[in-house]
Amino acid sequence: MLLRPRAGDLKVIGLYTGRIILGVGLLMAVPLATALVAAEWGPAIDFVIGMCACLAFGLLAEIGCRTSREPTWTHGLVVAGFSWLAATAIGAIPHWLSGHYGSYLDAMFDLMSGYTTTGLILIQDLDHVSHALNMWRHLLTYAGGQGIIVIALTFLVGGASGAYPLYVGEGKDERLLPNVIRTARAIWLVSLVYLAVGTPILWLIAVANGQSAARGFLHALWIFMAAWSTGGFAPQSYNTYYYHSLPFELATVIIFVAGSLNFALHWAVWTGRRGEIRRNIETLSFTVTIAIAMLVTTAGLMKLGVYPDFLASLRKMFYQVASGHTTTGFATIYSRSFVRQWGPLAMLGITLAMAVGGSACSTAGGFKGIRMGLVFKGLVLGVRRALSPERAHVVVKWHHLRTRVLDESTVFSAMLVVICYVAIYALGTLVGVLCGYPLTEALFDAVSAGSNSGLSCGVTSPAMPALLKAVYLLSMWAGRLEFMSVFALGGYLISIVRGR
Amino acid sequence: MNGNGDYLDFRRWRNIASYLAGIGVEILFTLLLAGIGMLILAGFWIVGG
Amino acid sequence: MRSITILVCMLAAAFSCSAQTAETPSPGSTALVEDAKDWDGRTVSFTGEAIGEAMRRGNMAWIHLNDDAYGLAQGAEAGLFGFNSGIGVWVDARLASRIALFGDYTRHGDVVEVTGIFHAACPLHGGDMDIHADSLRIMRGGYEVAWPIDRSRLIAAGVMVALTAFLFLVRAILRRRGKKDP
Repeated sequence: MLLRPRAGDLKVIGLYTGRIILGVGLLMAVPLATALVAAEWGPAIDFVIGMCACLAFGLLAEIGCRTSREPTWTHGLVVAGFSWLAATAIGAIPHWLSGHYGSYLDAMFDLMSGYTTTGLILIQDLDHVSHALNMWRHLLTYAGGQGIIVIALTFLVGGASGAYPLYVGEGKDERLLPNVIRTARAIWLVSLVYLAVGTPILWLIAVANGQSAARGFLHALWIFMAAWSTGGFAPQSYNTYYYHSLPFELATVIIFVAGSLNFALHWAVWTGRRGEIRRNIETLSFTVTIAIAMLVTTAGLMKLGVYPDFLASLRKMFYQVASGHTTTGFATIYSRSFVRQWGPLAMLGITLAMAVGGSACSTAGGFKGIRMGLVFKGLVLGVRRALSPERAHVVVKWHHLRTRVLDESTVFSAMLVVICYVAIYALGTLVGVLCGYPLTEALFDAVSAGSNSGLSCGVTSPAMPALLKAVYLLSMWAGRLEFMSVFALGGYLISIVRGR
Repeated sequence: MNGNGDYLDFRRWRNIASYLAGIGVEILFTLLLAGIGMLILAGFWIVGG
Repeated sequence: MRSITILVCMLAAAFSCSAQTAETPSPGSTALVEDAKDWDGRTVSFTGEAIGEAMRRGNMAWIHLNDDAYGLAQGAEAGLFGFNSGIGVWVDARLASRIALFGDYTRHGDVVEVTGIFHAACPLHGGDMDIHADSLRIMRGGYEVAWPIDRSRLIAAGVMVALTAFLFLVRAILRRRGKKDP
């Protein structure tokens, strides 16, 4: 029996959505400040408009949805799903006003791509974009990686109990520390320490590479934010190919691999439990799957003799595979080169890497390492059971922060989510082929969208059919939220119509 | 999983050292993956001739 | 009118290129990327707007030339013509220093023509697709782009600020009222 949500429920959802949009508005202060410092008056006005739109929305929500009820689990899921859509619609105002987008859908696409740390872009003439807009784009990936909700948790939500449903609705379900607010603080600490260490290092490399101190700083900051969040945006249309630098590639790989690791793993390793990195199911799974992806990609590259030089092969192969597997989306080759130079086998290797993705409770997307590991262990359990005498009690163990016994419901949940990802990859591919794109290309970009990777082989472009843009946008959204929020929102809408 | 609130205090040198050591371990992880890539590539290179 | 100007400029650029370098082919960046293997190792000439900056590395430098509509046409700043497209060029730093303006938000960069060898997978540069240029010519100087402030937008911003301030006030009043009531 579906219960129709009461006015009180809608108020809770409205209030918390409004608070999150308020947070997005406050975030716009950073690009606004950038515009003022850089004397970019047009963008400054655009950001004032955008910021006020967000603040007005949030204030209206606070006025119209006044309630002292704490959000429940369902509320949390619905708010997570709904607020990402609302943030995409309203946060795109400065994008749209910049004049770099062909339509409002294009602007929303880039917003969603930023928040979900995907990295696919529809922005036109990126090489002539204002510093303010570039600041907004890259900040979006950083904030989106942290989770809009973690931001709201840290700053806006007062009590502890109401916060947890929102946090979980958003797709991170690790408790680093007993109190959810303290967990949010720990996540921020890890991110900010990496920011403090990573940005100066990138800055040094940029200046050594021949960039001016000012441009070098901006690029270092933006590239750091896009790398750590595994977003994959870059300030120039050439992406990380622009830098032509081995040290830069190395630094960004290190940062984005770190960014793809589970925050709980960071916390364990940072607080003295360094052995966790060897025993954790996700790092083990990641190592195995990236080795397989590298195997397939290398086979493809060698078959076609793409890179005649060992070092060139290694640099190009490893960077693209790592970028795909961590679902970052940085590329040191042209998008079309995947199709025209690398060929279908190497593309398949990258596609597999993207599909599997990074770790849970990180900024990465895809199936997630923990599910790959669990599904594999589930197979082991099944095989062992089949081979053991009927009454034997078969136990399979797995390690994630502590050693646990594998139980079937855990495997079942993991497999369900994997199936959901496969479904959105398939849907994106189907629609791509329907729109006339070849299968390998449609598959590549569809998986990139659903896994929030951001590598493109050329399908994603302003000239792409609006239907495909919409499908990718929803794929990015569903993939980032790991489906539960999406189902909750759908269920809520249905119950409003059909419930009693 | 828990950390004592202690580690959240980023102003203590001991904690900072611990964070940096953690970063060091994570860097090694990336280098390990690059090493695996190198081995795979070398394998193909040798077999391919 | 503007689209005609753009078209004329693009044709002029195309003709002037081919007239001067009748022997050397001048494929666009799209052709180079799509058919890299065919162009690999061949001497080509390439014309585009210099964007970003020249990154000096020892005696040499990296520049990036965009041969898209934004780069080659004049007065195309406010139009939309898809993604940027161009190529990285490795050139002597002294030649690169001839470039006075690089394209960004406030500038349209110098339109530059280079001639050199194209690499589909440059062994010197980790497999990058690039052109090692041995000559560089400024075809057309760059210029500052002035973005005038849009009055209607300024007014819209003012309205939004007023609206937000008003809502803030309403919320504050409601909160105080809420505290007063038991």
